[in-house]
Amino acid sequence: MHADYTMLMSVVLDGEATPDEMQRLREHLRACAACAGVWERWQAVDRRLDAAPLVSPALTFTENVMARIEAQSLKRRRARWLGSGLFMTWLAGSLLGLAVIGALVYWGSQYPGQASGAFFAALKGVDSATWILLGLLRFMGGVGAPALAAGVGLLATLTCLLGMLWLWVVGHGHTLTTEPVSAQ
Amino acid sequence: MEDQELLWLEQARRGDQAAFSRLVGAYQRPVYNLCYRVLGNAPEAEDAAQETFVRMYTKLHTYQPERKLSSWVLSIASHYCIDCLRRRRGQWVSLDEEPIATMLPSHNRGPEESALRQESRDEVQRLVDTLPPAYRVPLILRYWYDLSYVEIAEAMGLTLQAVKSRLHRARLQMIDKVPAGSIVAMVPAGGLGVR
Repeated sequence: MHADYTMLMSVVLDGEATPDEMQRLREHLRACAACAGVWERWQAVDRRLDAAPLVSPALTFTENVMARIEAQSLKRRRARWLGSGLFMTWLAGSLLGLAVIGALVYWGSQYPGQASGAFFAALKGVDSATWILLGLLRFMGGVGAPALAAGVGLLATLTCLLGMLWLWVVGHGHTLTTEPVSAQ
Repeated sequence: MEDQELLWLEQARRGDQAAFSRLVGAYQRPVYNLCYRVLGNAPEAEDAAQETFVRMYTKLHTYQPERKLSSWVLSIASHYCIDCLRRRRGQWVSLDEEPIATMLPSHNRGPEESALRQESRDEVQRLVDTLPPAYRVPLILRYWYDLSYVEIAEAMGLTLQAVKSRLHRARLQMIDKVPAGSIVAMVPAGGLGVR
């Protein structure tokens, strides 16, 4: 068998050969029995492949595709809603904080006496909070480091779990799925 | 037909889901067949074909009108199927899996004819399954869709020489896998000769 001619056979079977190439192959096949045998085999396989039919999907295929597209757009809409919700919350919090600071500054400039009184009262409040905190720390010191670490760890884990649960509920919803929609 | 499909595509781009479902209806068979021939089993083919249309829907705005719509759709499907095969990492599908034909209603065919067609289909699929993905897809596009070298190259992002070479190698590999007796049975009575 001549390797050059198998490429030519392939091109002829694909219907991409020029008349000259077809003539060249024809002449070679007359002279070379080995290549003629290969050509016979290739033609047989070619015919079998040519005759193979298209297979069809399930009758509900279009409905399934549309359901999948709808599920994906619903998921995207929810993600967008979640993202914009978080952004709006952050924006509202920032604006509220700015408004409170602005109001305090304005109030301090209008009523300096009352403002300094309030400031010292706030300092006293912070002082009291510090004492409470120190008391708590002493209590924790009495409890011991391992118990404290375990308590903090438990609280952190619970917070994370609740956060993840909330994200899952918001992100996935009731029947939402992106898995293939099976034929009914 | 292509004009009608382009009209549906334009309507789908504007958000008309009914128009897109008509496009799905028009292309479901070629896309499903491509996925089935490349992946070799019905459940994966169903999933891949659905995913092809989901991707098509999200990429509607990227379609270039100078490109043939069918080539574009088949290109999405073939790239996705090649990715699926790569993800399999060499775990070829069992040939014992239930083929799609047994799940489909037979259209006025007797049991004997159905069995013969099934046998022939399985034999062809078995041959295709022996090929690596790089050779399998061009072969499928050539035989089931009658695409030219230029169209296959466009759909797969290959050069003409690469398409020619892959089809040649695919045939060389396939012919080695065909049992001699089976070949004799395939040879038609009409004899040889260059077409």
